Amino acid sequence: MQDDRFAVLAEKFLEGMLTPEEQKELAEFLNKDPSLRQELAELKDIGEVMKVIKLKSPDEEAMERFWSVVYNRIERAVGMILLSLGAILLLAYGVYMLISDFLRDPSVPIVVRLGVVGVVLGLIVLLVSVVKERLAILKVDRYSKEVDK
Amino acid sequence: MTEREAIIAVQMGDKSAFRVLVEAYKEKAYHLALFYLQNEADALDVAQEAFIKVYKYIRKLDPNRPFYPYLCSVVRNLAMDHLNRQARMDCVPLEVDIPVDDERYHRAIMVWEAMEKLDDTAREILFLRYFQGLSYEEMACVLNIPKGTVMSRLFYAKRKIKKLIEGGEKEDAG
Repeated sequence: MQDDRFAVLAEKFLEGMLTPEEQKELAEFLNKDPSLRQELAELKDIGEVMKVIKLKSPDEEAMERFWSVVYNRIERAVGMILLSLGAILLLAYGVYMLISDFLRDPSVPIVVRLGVVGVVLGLIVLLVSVVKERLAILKVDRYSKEVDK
Repeated sequence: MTEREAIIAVQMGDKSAFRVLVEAYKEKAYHLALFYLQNEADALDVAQEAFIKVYKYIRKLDPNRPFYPYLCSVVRNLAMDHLNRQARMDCVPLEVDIPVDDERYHRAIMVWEAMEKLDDTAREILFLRYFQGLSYEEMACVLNIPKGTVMSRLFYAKRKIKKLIEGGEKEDAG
């Protein structure tokens, strides 16, 4: 516990963020163990040296294409949503037309008609279930939660 | 256009304003992803994916808060997911640029080499502080730990570097 307190104070000292009270507290640690003074000086130097080190710039071509890749992927996602909505509407209309004609046809046995209704209802239940699951996942998506931090 | 103005513009439907944020942080996001993944192609992919995720939830973002810590969290999470899914391939460690004419050139090389030998926790805290420029508060948010823990981890990490350098110097002398 004492070690951690010293570590916090020392880190604040290295970054020049100590309050007057904390300075006194740190001085007490340093008085108890004078070798810590030398250590702090060396760690300050390491911190300064770290600031000299720069990361090598990434591949220029990849960085130039970066925005267009992000933009295209965002746009593609919007396109996919529109495409899916359109497909669902057309499919629903097609199924409705097919079934309404089919169910009205007196030559089709009642068992077959009931079977078709069952299949269609089943598909609807499955579709609703998948949509519900997707929405539930969206609610607990960790990336959306990061925003609330 | 400022970061805040760009966020508000995107929230109001201006997709092109998102470019301001992408251009401002793409390199940092890529470096962070590369730090975790050590693979250039994967890092690029994860950095781009992170921006797409951020775009998806941008309506919920507070424009008055700094943007990068949020992006940083997303890059980190995506990189972790990626590491869990895939075995590391073609490891390419991060490369650094140290001005040769700088009087601390040799010292800087020693510090960087020592940093590469650190455990993941110590390396990560130093990387976020010195190579991503995050504040203590921002690091606490990204790593989900208290601010005091951030400070003590930073101190211990630098202490480890010092010991590694001393160990190296002793080896050279011996």
